[in-house]
Amino acid sequence: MKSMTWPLFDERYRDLIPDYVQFLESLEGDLPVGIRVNELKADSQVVKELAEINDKKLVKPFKELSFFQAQGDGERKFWGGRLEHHLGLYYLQALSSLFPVLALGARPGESILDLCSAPGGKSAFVAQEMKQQGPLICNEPDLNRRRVLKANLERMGVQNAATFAGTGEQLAFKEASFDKVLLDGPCSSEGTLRLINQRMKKKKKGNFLTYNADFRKQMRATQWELLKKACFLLKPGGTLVYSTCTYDPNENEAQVNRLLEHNESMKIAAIELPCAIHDRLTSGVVAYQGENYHPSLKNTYRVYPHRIDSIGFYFAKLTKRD
Amino acid sequence: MLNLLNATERQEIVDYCQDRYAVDPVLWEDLVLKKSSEAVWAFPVELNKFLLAHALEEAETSGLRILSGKSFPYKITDSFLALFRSAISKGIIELKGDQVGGLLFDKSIELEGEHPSIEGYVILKYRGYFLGVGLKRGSKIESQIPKKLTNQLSSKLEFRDK
Repeated sequence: MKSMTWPLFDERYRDLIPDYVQFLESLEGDLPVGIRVNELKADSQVVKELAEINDKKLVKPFKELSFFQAQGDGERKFWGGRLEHHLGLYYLQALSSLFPVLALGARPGESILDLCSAPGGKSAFVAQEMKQQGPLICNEPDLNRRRVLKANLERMGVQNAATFAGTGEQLAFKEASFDKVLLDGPCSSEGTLRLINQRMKKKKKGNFLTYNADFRKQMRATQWELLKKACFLLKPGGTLVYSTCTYDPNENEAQVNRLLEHNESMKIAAIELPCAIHDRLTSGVVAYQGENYHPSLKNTYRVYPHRIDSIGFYFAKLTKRD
Repeated sequence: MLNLLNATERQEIVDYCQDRYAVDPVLWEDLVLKKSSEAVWAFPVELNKFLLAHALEEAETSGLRILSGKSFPYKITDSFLALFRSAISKGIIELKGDQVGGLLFDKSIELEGEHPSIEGYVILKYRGYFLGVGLKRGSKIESQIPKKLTNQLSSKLEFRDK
Protein backbone atom coordinates (compact mmCIF):
# COMPACT_ATOMS: atom_id res chain seq x y z
CA MET A 1 0.00 0.00 0.00
CA LYS A 2 1.31 3.41 -0.91
CA SER A 3 1.88 5.51 2.16
CA MET A 4 -0.04 8.70 2.54
CA THR A 5 1.96 11.86 2.78
CA TRP A 6 1.46 14.48 5.44
CA PRO A 7 3.07 17.67 4.11
CA LEU A 8 1.30 19.76 6.68
CA PHE A 9 2.78 17.74 9.52
CA ASP A 10 6.23 17.60 7.85
CA GLU A 11 6.39 21.34 7.78
CA ARG A 12 5.32 21.91 11.36
CA TYR A 13 6.18 18.84 13.38
CA ARG A 14 9.14 17.06 11.78
CA ASP A 15 11.50 18.62 14.31
CA LEU A 16 9.05 18.55 17.17
CA ILE A 17 7.80 14.99 17.32
CA PRO A 18 10.39 12.37 18.31
CA ASP A 19 10.81 9.40 15.93
CA TYR A 20 8.84 11.31 13.37
CA VAL A 21 8.81 8.55 10.73
CA GLN A 22 7.38 6.09 13.21
CA PHE A 23 4.83 8.70 14.18
CA LEU A 24 3.67 9.01 10.55
CA GLU A 25 3.52 5.24 10.21
CA SER A 26 1.35 5.05 13.31
CA LEU A 27 -1.17 7.40 11.72
CA GLU A 28 -1.83 4.77 9.09
CA GLY A 29 -2.35 1.93 11.53
CA ASP A 30 -5.81 1.05 12.75
CA LEU A 31 -6.82 2.64 16.01
CA PRO A 32 -7.77 0.10 18.69
CA VAL A 33 -11.18 0.35 20.28
CA GLY A 34 -10.90 1.45 23.91
CA ILE A 35 -13.32 -0.15 26.36
CA ARG A 36 -13.57 1.48 29.78
CA VAL A 37 -15.52 -0.56 32.28
CA ASN A 38 -18.10 1.64 33.99
CA GLU A 39 -17.51 0.80 37.63
CA LEU A 40 -20.67 2.68 38.59
CA LYS A 41 -22.58 -0.25 37.14
CA ALA A 42 -20.28 -3.19 36.53
CA ASP A 43 -16.83 -4.67 36.89
CA SER A 44 -14.26 -6.02 34.45
CA GLN A 45 -15.85 -9.43 34.44
CA VAL A 46 -18.61 -8.20 32.11
CA VAL A 47 -16.12 -7.32 29.40
CA LYS A 48 -13.97 -10.39 29.95
CA GLU A 49 -16.98 -12.68 29.68
CA LEU A 50 -18.23 -10.98 26.53
CA ALA A 51 -14.81 -11.42 24.96
CA GLU A 52 -14.63 -15.05 26.02
CA ILE A 53 -18.10 -15.96 24.77
CA ASN A 54 -17.45 -14.31 21.41
CA ASP A 55 -13.82 -15.37 20.93
CA LYS A 56 -12.55 -11.82 21.07
CA LYS A 57 -9.00 -10.93 21.94
CA LEU A 58 -8.49 -8.08 24.38
CA VAL A 59 -5.43 -6.26 25.62
CA LYS A 60 -5.37 -4.73 29.11
CA PRO A 61 -2.78 -1.96 28.87
CA PHE A 62 -2.51 -1.36 32.62
CA LYS A 63 -3.32 -3.67 35.46
CA GLU A 64 -4.43 -0.67 37.54
CA LEU A 65 -7.18 0.41 35.14
CA SER A 66 -10.42 -1.35 34.25
CA PHE A 67 -9.75 -0.63 30.62
CA PHE A 68 -9.27 -2.87 27.59
CA GLN A 69 -8.37 -2.45 23.94
CA ALA A 70 -9.52 -4.50 20.97
CA GLN A 71 -7.81 -4.28 17.61
CA GLY A 72 -9.08 -5.23 14.19
CA ASP A 73 -11.78 -4.80 11.61
CA GLY A 74 -15.27 -4.89 13.01
CA GLU A 75 -14.25 -4.52 16.64
CA ARG A 76 -15.80 -1.06 17.01
CA LYS A 77 -19.06 -2.34 15.56
CA PHE A 78 -18.99 -5.41 17.76
CA TRP A 79 -18.32 -3.65 21.06
CA GLY A 80 -20.58 -0.74 20.19
CA GLY A 81 -23.48 -3.04 19.32
CA ARG A 82 -23.62 -5.13 22.49
CA LEU A 83 -26.52 -4.90 24.89
CA GLU A 84 -23.99 -4.36 27.69
CA HIS A 85 -22.73 -1.23 25.94
CA HIS A 86 -26.20 0.21 25.60
CA LEU A 87 -26.88 -0.56 29.26
CA GLY A 88 -23.85 1.51 30.20
CA LEU A 89 -21.77 -1.31 31.63
CA TYR A 90 -18.83 -0.03 29.61
CA TYR A 91 -18.01 3.01 27.54
CA LEU A 92 -15.99 3.22 24.34
CA GLN A 93 -13.27 5.83 24.61
CA ALA A 94 -9.66 6.23 23.61
CA LEU A 95 -6.99 5.34 26.12
CA SER A 96 -5.42 8.81 25.81
CA SER A 97 -8.64 10.45 26.94
CA LEU A 98 -8.34 8.78 30.35
CA PHE A 99 -5.10 10.58 31.19
CA PRO A 100 -6.53 14.09 31.79
CA VAL A 101 -9.10 12.61 34.18
CA LEU A 102 -6.45 10.58 35.99
CA ALA A 103 -4.24 13.67 36.20
CA LEU A 104 -7.14 15.61 37.73
CA GLY A 105 -7.25 13.14 40.62
CA ALA A 106 -10.92 13.63 41.48
CA ARG A 107 -11.80 12.62 45.02
CA PRO A 108 -15.11 12.01 46.81
CA GLY A 109 -16.67 15.17 48.21
CA GLU A 110 -14.95 17.63 45.90
CA SER A 111 -16.80 20.11 43.72
CA ILE A 112 -15.76 19.55 40.13
CA LEU A 113 -16.49 21.34 36.87
CA ASP A 114 -16.11 19.72 33.46
CA LEU A 115 -16.16 22.84 31.36
CA CYS A 116 -16.47 21.21 27.90
CA SER A 117 -18.28 18.09 28.82
CA ALA A 118 -19.78 16.44 25.73
CA PRO A 119 -19.96 13.64 24.80
CA GLY A 120 -19.56 12.76 28.48
CA GLY A 121 -17.00 9.95 28.61
CA LYS A 122 -14.61 11.94 30.74
CA SER A 123 -17.43 13.30 32.91
CA ALA A 124 -18.67 9.80 33.64
CA PHE A 125 -15.13 8.75 34.49
CA VAL A 126 -14.77 11.75 36.82
CA ALA A 127 -18.05 10.75 38.52
CA GLN A 128 -16.66 7.27 38.99
CA GLU A 129 -13.42 8.62 40.47
CA MET A 130 -15.47 10.83 42.85
CA LYS A 131 -17.48 7.77 43.85
CA GLN A 132 -20.39 10.05 42.98
CA GLN A 133 -19.89 12.07 46.14
CA GLY A 134 -19.84 15.82 45.63
CA PRO A 135 -21.26 18.04 42.90
CA LEU A 136 -20.15 17.48 39.31
CA ILE A 137 -21.10 20.29 36.94
CA CYS A 138 -21.06 19.41 33.25
CA ASN A 139 -21.23 22.22 30.74
CA GLU A 140 -21.89 22.01 27.02
CA PRO A 141 -23.24 24.90 24.94
CA ASP A 142 -24.15 22.99 21.78
CA LEU A 143 -27.67 21.56 21.90
CA ASN A 144 -27.00 18.39 19.90
CA ARG A 145 -23.80 17.63 21.77
CA ARG A 146 -25.60 18.30 25.05
CA ARG A 147 -28.29 15.78 24.14
CA VAL A 148 -25.59 13.18 23.65
CA LEU A 149 -23.96 14.22 26.92
CA LYS A 150 -27.18 13.85 28.90
CA ALA A 151 -27.99 10.51 27.28
CA ASN A 152 -24.52 9.21 28.08
CA LEU A 153 -24.59 10.39 31.69
CA GLU A 154 -27.96 8.73 32.14
CA ARG A 155 -26.82 5.54 30.45
CA MET A 156 -23.71 5.40 32.62
CA GLY A 157 -25.83 5.86 35.75
CA VAL A 158 -24.18 9.12 36.84
CA GLN A 159 -26.11 10.51 39.78
CA ASN A 160 -24.20 13.53 41.03
CA ALA A 161 -24.10 15.64 37.87
CA ALA A 162 -25.96 18.74 36.77
CA THR A 163 -25.72 19.87 33.16
CA PHE A 164 -25.52 23.47 32.03
CA ALA A 165 -26.17 24.88 28.62
CA GLY A 166 -24.27 28.15 28.36
CA THR A 167 -20.95 28.80 26.76
CA GLY A 168 -18.15 28.06 29.18
CA GLU A 169 -17.14 31.70 29.22
CA GLN A 170 -20.61 32.72 30.40
CA LEU A 171 -21.07 30.07 33.07
CA ALA A 172 -22.58 31.96 36.00
CA PHE A 173 -20.88 30.36 38.98
CA LYS A 174 -19.22 32.60 41.52
CA GLU A 175 -15.49 33.07 41.67
CA ALA A 176 -13.61 30.22 43.39
CA SER A 177 -16.52 27.78 43.28
CA PHE A 178 -14.68 24.58 42.40
CA ASP A 179 -12.00 22.37 43.89
CA LYS A 180 -11.11 21.06 40.46
CA VAL A 181 -11.78 22.02 36.86
CA LEU A 182 -11.32 19.84 33.81
CA LEU A 183 -10.96 21.82 30.61
CA ASP A 184 -10.74 19.47 27.67
CA GLY A 185 -10.98 22.32 25.24
CA PRO A 186 -12.19 22.58 21.68
CA CYS A 187 -9.22 22.20 19.38
CA SER A 188 -8.07 21.44 15.85
CA SER A 189 -8.26 17.71 16.71
CA GLU A 190 -5.10 16.67 14.88
CA GLY A 191 -4.72 13.82 17.37
CA THR A 192 -7.83 12.11 16.02
CA LEU A 193 -6.44 11.93 12.47
CA ARG A 194 -5.62 8.29 13.00
CA LEU A 195 -9.28 7.48 13.48
CA ILE A 196 -10.39 9.76 10.66
CA ASN A 197 -7.71 8.32 8.39
CA GLN A 198 -9.04 4.82 9.14
CA ARG A 199 -12.53 5.90 8.12
CA MET A 200 -11.25 7.66 5.01
CA LYS A 201 -9.37 4.55 3.92
CA LYS A 202 -12.58 2.53 4.21
CA LYS A 203 -14.28 5.07 2.00
CA LYS A 204 -11.27 5.00 -0.32
CA LYS A 205 -10.80 8.71 0.10
CA GLY A 206 -7.48 10.48 0.35
CA ASN A 207 -5.75 12.57 2.92
CA PHE A 208 -8.09 15.40 3.79
CA LEU A 209 -5.77 17.29 6.11
CA THR A 210 -5.70 21.01 5.50
CA TYR A 211 -4.71 24.02 7.55
CA ASN A 212 -7.40 26.61 8.07
CA ALA A 213 -5.72 29.59 9.70
CA ASP A 214 -8.96 31.36 10.57
CA PHE A 215 -10.37 28.25 12.24
CA ARG A 216 -7.19 27.78 14.27
CA LYS A 217 -7.21 31.40 15.32
CA GLN A 218 -10.80 31.08 16.48
CA MET A 219 -9.95 27.89 18.38
CA ARG A 220 -7.08 29.59 20.17
CA ALA A 221 -9.29 32.54 21.12
CA THR A 222 -11.93 30.22 22.57
CA GLN A 223 -9.35 28.16 24.43
CA TRP A 224 -7.91 31.29 25.96
CA GLU A 225 -11.29 32.58 27.16
CA LEU A 226 -12.08 29.18 28.65
CA LEU A 227 -8.72 29.00 30.41
CA LYS A 228 -9.28 32.40 32.00
CA LYS A 229 -12.76 31.35 33.09
CA ALA A 230 -11.47 28.06 34.51
CA CYS A 231 -8.93 29.94 36.66
CA PHE A 232 -11.60 32.35 37.84
CA LEU A 233 -13.85 29.49 38.94
CA LEU A 234 -11.09 27.56 40.67
CA LYS A 235 -10.65 27.78 44.45
CA PRO A 236 -7.23 28.74 45.83
CA GLY A 237 -5.33 25.49 46.19
CA GLY A 238 -7.52 23.96 43.48
CA THR A 239 -6.44 21.97 40.44
CA LEU A 240 -7.01 22.67 36.76
CA VAL A 241 -6.30 20.14 34.04
CA TYR A 242 -6.16 21.54 30.53
CA SER A 243 -6.17 19.08 27.66
CA THR A 244 -6.65 18.92 23.92
CA CYS A 245 -6.47 16.25 21.27
CA THR A 246 -4.12 18.17 19.02
CA TYR A 247 -0.36 18.31 18.48
CA ASP A 248 -0.22 22.02 17.77
CA PRO A 249 1.87 23.74 20.49
CA ASN A 250 0.02 26.97 19.74
CA GLU A 251 -3.09 25.35 21.19
CA ASN A 252 -1.24 23.57 23.97
CA GLU A 253 1.96 24.75 25.62
CA ALA A 254 1.61 28.28 24.23
CA GLN A 255 -1.82 28.65 25.81
CA VAL A 256 -0.65 27.36 29.17
CA ASN A 257 2.43 29.58 28.96
CA ARG A 258 0.22 32.58 28.29
CA LEU A 259 -1.87 31.67 31.32
CA LEU A 260 1.22 31.50 33.55
CA GLU A 261 2.26 34.95 32.34
CA HIS A 262 -1.25 36.36 32.68
CA ASN A 263 -2.16 34.87 36.04
CA GLU A 264 0.57 34.70 38.67
CA SER A 265 -1.61 32.61 40.96
CA MET A 266 -1.36 29.65 38.59
CA LYS A 267 1.57 27.26 38.45
CA ILE A 268 2.34 23.98 36.76
CA ALA A 269 1.92 20.94 38.99
CA ALA A 270 3.61 17.57 38.71
CA ILE A 271 1.42 14.91 37.14
CA GLU A 272 1.17 11.58 38.88
CA LEU A 273 -0.80 8.89 37.15
CA PRO A 274 -1.91 5.68 38.85
CA CYS A 275 -0.47 3.50 36.10
CA ALA A 276 2.99 2.84 34.66
CA ILE A 277 2.84 5.14 31.66
CA HIS A 278 5.24 8.02 32.31
CA ASP A 279 8.09 6.55 30.25
CA ARG A 280 5.82 6.41 27.20
CA LEU A 281 4.58 9.96 27.55
CA THR A 282 6.56 12.81 25.99
CA SER A 283 7.31 16.00 27.89
CA GLY A 284 5.71 19.23 26.75
CA VAL A 285 7.80 21.46 24.51
CA VAL A 286 9.45 24.59 25.91
CA ALA A 287 10.15 26.28 22.59
CA TYR A 288 8.37 26.36 19.23
CA GLN A 289 8.60 28.50 16.13
CA GLY A 290 11.04 30.88 17.80
CA GLU A 291 9.03 31.32 20.95
CA ASN A 292 10.30 30.16 24.33
CA TYR A 293 7.92 28.94 26.99
CA HIS A 294 8.26 28.70 30.76
CA PRO A 295 10.62 25.81 31.65
CA SER A 296 7.97 24.19 33.84
CA LEU A 297 6.03 23.35 30.65
CA LYS A 298 8.27 20.31 30.37
CA ASN A 299 6.16 18.91 33.21
CA THR A 300 3.13 18.79 30.94
CA TYR A 301 2.62 15.80 28.65
CA ARG A 302 2.11 14.88 25.05
CA VAL A 303 0.66 11.57 23.94
CA TYR A 304 1.86 10.31 20.57
CA PRO A 305 0.26 7.31 18.86
CA HIS A 306 3.58 5.63 18.04
CA ARG A 307 4.38 5.52 21.77
CA ILE A 308 0.92 4.84 23.13
CA ASP A 309 -1.48 2.94 20.93
CA SER A 310 -4.26 5.52 20.92
CA ILE A 311 -5.03 9.01 19.64
CA GLY A 312 -2.80 12.06 20.09
CA PHE A 313 -3.32 14.17 23.19
CA TYR A 314 -1.85 16.93 25.30
CA PHE A 315 -2.50 17.56 28.99
CA ALA A 316 -1.24 19.95 31.63
CA LYS A 317 -1.99 20.13 35.33
CA LEU A 318 -1.97 23.46 37.11
CA THR A 319 -2.70 24.53 40.65
CA LYS A 320 -3.89 27.84 41.98
CA ARG A 321 -1.75 29.22 44.76
CA ASP A 322 -3.44 29.66 48.17
CA MET B 1 -42.47 22.30 37.74
CA LEU B 2 -40.98 20.28 40.58
CA ASN B 3 -42.37 20.42 44.11
CA LEU B 4 -40.68 19.16 47.22
CA LEU B 5 -42.41 16.08 48.61
CA ASN B 6 -43.90 16.57 52.05
CA ALA B 7 -42.87 14.25 54.88
CA THR B 8 -45.85 11.93 54.44
CA GLU B 9 -45.41 11.58 50.68
CA ARG B 10 -41.72 10.96 51.14
CA GLN B 11 -42.28 8.30 53.78
CA GLU B 12 -44.81 6.51 51.58
CA ILE B 13 -42.25 6.24 48.81
CA VAL B 14 -39.49 5.09 51.14
CA ASP B 15 -41.79 2.44 52.62
CA TYR B 16 -43.00 1.33 49.19
CA CYS B 17 -39.46 0.83 47.91
CA GLN B 18 -38.41 -0.99 51.05
CA ASP B 19 -41.38 -3.30 50.93
CA ARG B 20 -41.17 -3.99 47.23
CA TYR B 21 -37.45 -3.86 46.40
CA ALA B 22 -35.81 -4.05 49.85
CA VAL B 23 -34.20 -0.61 49.53
CA ASP B 24 -32.91 0.36 52.98
CA PRO B 25 -34.57 3.60 54.22
CA VAL B 26 -31.13 4.86 55.29
CA LEU B 27 -30.17 5.20 51.62
CA TRP B 28 -32.76 7.93 51.10
CA GLU B 29 -31.22 10.21 53.71
CA ASP B 30 -28.82 11.85 51.24
CA LEU B 31 -31.56 12.51 48.72
CA VAL B 32 -33.96 15.40 48.29
CA LEU B 33 -37.19 14.15 46.68
CA LYS B 34 -39.32 16.27 44.38
CA LYS B 35 -42.37 15.52 42.33
CA SER B 36 -43.60 16.64 38.93
CA SER B 37 -47.02 15.81 37.52
CA GLU B 38 -45.75 12.48 36.18
CA ALA B 39 -42.61 11.49 38.05
CA VAL B 40 -40.63 11.54 41.27
CA TRP B 41 -37.14 12.98 41.16
CA ALA B 42 -34.21 12.43 43.51
CA PHE B 43 -31.50 15.03 44.01
CA PRO B 44 -28.28 14.23 45.82
CA VAL B 45 -28.21 16.57 48.84
CA GLU B 46 -24.69 17.81 48.12
CA LEU B 47 -25.49 18.72 44.53
CA ASN B 48 -28.73 20.39 45.58
CA LYS B 49 -26.93 22.44 48.24
CA PHE B 50 -24.20 23.42 45.83
CA LEU B 51 -26.63 24.71 43.24
CA LEU B 52 -28.65 26.58 45.85
CA ALA B 53 -25.52 28.11 47.37
CA HIS B 54 -24.62 29.50 43.98
CA ALA B 55 -28.18 30.68 43.41
CA LEU B 56 -28.18 28.84 40.15
CA GLU B 57 -31.46 27.66 38.85
CA GLU B 58 -30.58 27.40 35.21
CA ALA B 59 -29.18 23.88 35.40
CA GLU B 60 -30.68 22.14 32.42
CA THR B 61 -30.72 18.82 34.18
CA SER B 62 -29.91 17.80 37.67
CA GLY B 63 -31.35 15.02 39.71
CA LEU B 64 -32.64 11.63 38.71
CA ARG B 65 -36.07 10.66 37.53
CA ILE B 66 -36.40 7.59 39.72
CA LEU B 67 -40.12 6.82 39.59
CA SER B 68 -42.58 7.48 36.83
CA GLY B 69 -46.33 7.74 37.10
CA LYS B 70 -48.79 10.04 38.80
CA SER B 71 -49.32 7.93 41.90
CA PHE B 72 -48.84 4.46 43.33
CA PRO B 73 -47.95 1.99 41.99
CA TYR B 74 -45.08 3.96 40.53
CA LYS B 75 -42.92 2.45 37.83
CA ILE B 76 -39.27 2.35 38.74
CA THR B 77 -36.83 3.71 36.16
CA ASP B 78 -33.31 2.89 34.99
CA SER B 79 -32.09 5.75 37.19
CA PHE B 80 -33.69 4.06 40.18
CA LEU B 81 -31.80 0.89 39.33
CA ALA B 82 -28.54 2.82 38.98
CA LEU B 83 -29.10 4.71 42.22
CA PHE B 84 -29.95 1.73 44.41
CA ARG B 85 -28.09 -0.91 42.43
CA SER B 86 -26.34 -2.69 45.25
CA ALA B 87 -29.24 -2.32 47.69
CA ILE B 88 -31.96 -3.99 45.65
CA SER B 89 -32.57 -7.57 46.64
CA LYS B 90 -36.28 -8.06 46.10
CA GLY B 91 -38.69 -7.86 43.20
CA ILE B 92 -36.14 -9.32 40.84
CA ILE B 93 -36.67 -11.78 38.01
CA GLU B 94 -33.51 -13.48 36.76
CA LEU B 95 -33.69 -14.09 33.02
CA LYS B 96 -32.07 -16.64 30.80
CA GLY B 97 -30.51 -15.73 27.48
CA ASP B 98 -33.44 -16.77 25.30
CA GLN B 99 -35.84 -14.83 27.54
CA VAL B 100 -33.80 -11.65 27.09
CA GLY B 101 -34.13 -11.82 23.32
CA GLY B 102 -37.88 -12.41 23.71
CA LEU B 103 -38.31 -9.39 25.95
CA LEU B 104 -36.18 -7.07 23.89
CA PHE B 105 -37.55 -7.91 20.47
CA ASP B 106 -40.93 -9.57 21.03
CA LYS B 107 -41.79 -7.27 23.98
CA SER B 108 -43.11 -10.01 26.25
CA ILE B 109 -42.41 -13.52 27.48
CA GLU B 110 -44.26 -16.26 29.28
CA LEU B 111 -42.44 -17.69 32.28
CA GLU B 112 -42.47 -21.45 32.35
CA GLY B 113 -42.57 -23.62 35.44
CA GLU B 114 -42.29 -22.07 38.86
CA HIS B 115 -41.86 -18.34 39.03
CA PRO B 116 -41.89 -15.70 41.78
CA SER B 117 -45.37 -14.77 42.91
CA ILE B 118 -44.59 -11.03 42.83
CA GLU B 119 -46.88 -8.99 40.55
CA GLY B 120 -46.56 -5.55 39.00
CA TYR B 121 -43.31 -3.79 38.18
CA VAL B 122 -40.36 -6.12 38.55
CA ILE B 123 -36.64 -5.73 37.99
CA LEU B 124 -35.17 -7.79 35.19
CA LYS B 125 -31.69 -9.15 35.68
CA TYR B 126 -29.47 -11.02 33.23
CA ARG B 127 -26.04 -12.46 33.96
CA GLY B 128 -25.88 -10.46 37.18
CA TYR B 129 -26.70 -7.00 35.89
CA PHE B 130 -29.88 -5.00 35.59
CA LEU B 131 -31.51 -5.16 32.20
CA GLY B 132 -34.47 -2.90 33.02
CA VAL B 133 -38.03 -3.08 34.24
CA GLY B 134 -40.87 -5.44 33.32
CA LEU B 135 -44.54 -5.55 34.17
CA LYS B 136 -45.42 -8.98 35.50
CA ARG B 137 -48.97 -10.30 35.40
CA GLY B 138 -49.17 -13.94 36.39
CA SER B 139 -46.67 -15.81 34.26
CA LYS B 140 -46.42 -13.06 31.62
CA ILE B 141 -43.81 -10.32 31.67
CA GLU B 142 -44.19 -7.31 29.40
CA SER B 143 -41.07 -5.36 28.65
CA GLN B 144 -40.90 -1.77 29.94
CA ILE B 145 -37.42 -1.39 28.51
CA PRO B 146 -37.22 1.87 26.56
CA LYS B 147 -37.63 1.56 22.79
CA LYS B 148 -34.57 3.71 22.31
CA LEU B 149 -32.52 0.84 23.69
CA THR B 150 -34.08 -1.94 21.65
CA ASN B 151 -33.97 0.18 18.50
CA GLN B 152 -30.21 0.41 18.86
CA LEU B 153 -29.74 -3.33 19.08
CA SER B 154 -29.52 -5.78 16.25
CA SER B 155 -32.14 -8.51 16.34
CA LYS B 156 -29.32 -10.86 15.34
CA LEU B 157 -27.73 -10.48 18.76
CA GLU B 158 -27.46 -13.69 20.69
CA PHE B 159 -27.93 -13.77 24.43
CA ARG B 160 -26.22 -16.72 25.96
CA ASP B 161 -26.25 -17.97 29.49
CA LYS B 162 -22.85 -18.07 31.01
